[in-house]
Amino acid sequence: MDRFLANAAARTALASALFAGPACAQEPTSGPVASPSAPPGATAPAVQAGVSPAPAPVDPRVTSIHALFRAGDFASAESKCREWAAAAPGDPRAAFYLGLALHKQKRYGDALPQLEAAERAAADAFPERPHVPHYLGWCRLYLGDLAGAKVAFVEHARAFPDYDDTQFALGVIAFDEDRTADAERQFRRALALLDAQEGPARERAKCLARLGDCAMRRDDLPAAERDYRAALELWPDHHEAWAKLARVLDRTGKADDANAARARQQSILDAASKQAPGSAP
Amino acid sequence: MTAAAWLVAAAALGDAPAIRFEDVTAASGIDLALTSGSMPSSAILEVKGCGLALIDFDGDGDRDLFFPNGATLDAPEAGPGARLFENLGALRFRDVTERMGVRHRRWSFGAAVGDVDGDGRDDLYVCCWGPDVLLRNLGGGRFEDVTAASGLGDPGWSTSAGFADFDADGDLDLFVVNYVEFDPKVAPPPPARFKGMVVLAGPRGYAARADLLYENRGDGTFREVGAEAGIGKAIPGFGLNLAVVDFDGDRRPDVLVANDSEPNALFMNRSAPGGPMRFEERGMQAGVATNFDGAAQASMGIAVGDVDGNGFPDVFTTNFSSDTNTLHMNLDGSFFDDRTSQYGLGAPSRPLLGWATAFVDLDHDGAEDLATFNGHVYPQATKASMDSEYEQPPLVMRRAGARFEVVADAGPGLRAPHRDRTAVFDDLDGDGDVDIVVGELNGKVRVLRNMHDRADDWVKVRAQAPGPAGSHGIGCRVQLWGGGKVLARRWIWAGGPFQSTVSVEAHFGVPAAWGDRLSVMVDWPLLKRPGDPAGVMASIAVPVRRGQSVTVGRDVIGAATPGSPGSR
Repeated sequence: MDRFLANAAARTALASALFAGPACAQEPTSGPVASPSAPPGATAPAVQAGVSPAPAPVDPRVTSIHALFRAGDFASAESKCREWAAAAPGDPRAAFYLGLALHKQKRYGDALPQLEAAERAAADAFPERPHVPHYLGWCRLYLGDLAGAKVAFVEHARAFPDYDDTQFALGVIAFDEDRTADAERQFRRALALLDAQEGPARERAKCLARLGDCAMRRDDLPAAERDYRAALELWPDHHEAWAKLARVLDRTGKADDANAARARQQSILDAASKQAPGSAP
Repeated sequence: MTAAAWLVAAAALGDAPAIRFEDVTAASGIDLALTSGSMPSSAILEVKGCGLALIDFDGDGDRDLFFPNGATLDAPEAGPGARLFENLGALRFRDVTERMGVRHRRWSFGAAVGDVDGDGRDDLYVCCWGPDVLLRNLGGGRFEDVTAASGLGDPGWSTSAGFADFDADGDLDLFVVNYVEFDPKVAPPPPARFKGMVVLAGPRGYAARADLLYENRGDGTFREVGAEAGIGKAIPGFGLNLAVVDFDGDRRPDVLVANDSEPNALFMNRSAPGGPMRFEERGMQAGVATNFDGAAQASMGIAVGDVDGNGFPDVFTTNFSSDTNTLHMNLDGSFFDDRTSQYGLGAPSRPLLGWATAFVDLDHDGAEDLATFNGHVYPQATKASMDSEYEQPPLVMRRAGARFEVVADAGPGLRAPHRDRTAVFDDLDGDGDVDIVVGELNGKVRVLRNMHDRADDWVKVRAQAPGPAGSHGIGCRVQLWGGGKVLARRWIWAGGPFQSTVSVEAHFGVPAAWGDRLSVMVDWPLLKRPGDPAGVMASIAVPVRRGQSVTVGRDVIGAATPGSPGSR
């Protein structure tokens, strides 16, 4: 789920426009599989950066795209963005929104050049510009460019150290680089940021599940079980956490509990596939 | 890259030898375009590509090449036909198909090789859409279709198969992996969507077809025993590949079946020597059925190796694009854990759709590297539309310390993108390094020569014993010893990189640091002995020199050879 959106009312115009509503429900459940998200605590870039916030620009194109994002209609948003980009070639803000619309459709290869174009713009070229590296980071990560993703997220974290989703992403990268202690530190930081702002349970659950992954990597099965169970307390439909918990339970000789956890995972998956028939290739 | 530039690059690598392959197809004598339906692919039958098998059909000690080949939807029984190429040495081959005496033209996929009748010759089992075929090697390069008399010939769509002595009675049994019920006269499932694009439906709209287990009656005829042996208890999956390996170290060959978009199945062999075959399906409980997140994957190629050096065979599978390939680390023979990202194998594979794969020490530094051949199933795939191209380059990853790292340029033979599917990895020119033969979807076969070319930094081991079960050493674990410890391990297994076979020869790169006092130890699978319900577990050790090929038998009876290095 997209955390910016879930806390939209308290956010800036950008945050409220981009990260709320039914769009979130279409995202996978965790980790790099999930769509990029921004933290619930994230405020407007200028506020977080410690400078005076610029007044939110009123642009009818942006307003309509925001509405489509909120409705989860990313294909229509893409069309709007393409119209904008065609009418204003080289406009980095149009490129950003087009990249975002493609990103939301998981078309990362298509989104990448748009977000890269947006990133080439000056730091104050458009209001959303400071957050471009965040989306660029996720995009690169999904395309398998771990090093490029890291560069982008580090840049974003430098500007927005309390942006929990960027901290989470850096944890994912550290885990992929087999820097388990660093990954754990990042996930704990993301969790603390979420806790501090009473962020969505689902997002906190993802952090806890990732901490369980770190424990698994260390072969610390009791810690992994604790973390997965804590994640499931917060978000009982976290099917990946059920699968991982089942694996821990198998390895600790609790076969019946493991089977029950797997059954729970399967029932969640079955329910999800009923909601989205034919979505798999 | 010019020679000078290559020298600069090599120097930059320091002591690490480069991985370099060149394409020698033009001089190889193999001029073969494989057929797998039409282009662009419009049916699920057309996207898997053709298989490839290593077979020593003439018994001269080297491996020849058998291409089952496919066909087209309008004439599935009358394709261009299977082809057999005799290995002449120096990566030169001669087409001896006409000499075979059998013209196999049915749409085919993988193949398995084994001496089913104990006459000392390699026979061929061909997986088909339509009845599978058993070709008995009569000698002299001639084969006879003995399917009808053998009890084989299941009429469904099989993709891969493997021979092994599952019941330890001395002959070769057969495991056949089946895919889906496919009938071109029945309307296919509606197209699916991938990344917003309408694409060919995958297997999910079809009924899965159960895998089959055949017991060899001892005379080269077979009886299907899947149901009574426990294979039939498993939920049928969309099977694409298999690895017949002793996963838990009990000297019985187990079977991992790679299922497309469904959980993999792990059939643990519980058979008593000479008794009825018994298997227990434990894929999910063992942690090898899905990836770390509990998701079933496409699971096409399989590589087997001891990545963490704990003595148990680990499993690497190739998967769909926008997913990662997966390394299932065998923790203790009972449980696996997905350690893909820990070893650096996840991110580089995301843009690729992987097929044939193998762990091979390509640069002879003592650690197995990883090669994967790739290509998308959707003809409309581009990076912009699907984050992945239709034609994709091979991915070579070099073992570098605790992780694997991408080899940016593994030479001209591994540079260009293709629609690759099958491959075999073997020292086909006998120079001590492992070469590759690749089969592309509706494309030309390529012969890739490993340019390592050193005479003193390798060891090759064949496990070979009298009797059909011993002829290929299927199920053996081979360990290279030096300095009082195990330096490296290999397994001789059935199944293969993808719809293909693995080499019967265990290959070891031997770096200088390993010294010259080397030995190999072969742990043979269980074999029944009259009056001994426990059966025989032979472990045979022999000294070996650098640059030497040795053959190790199982003629010493006992739990271990006196004076041999200890077992696991």
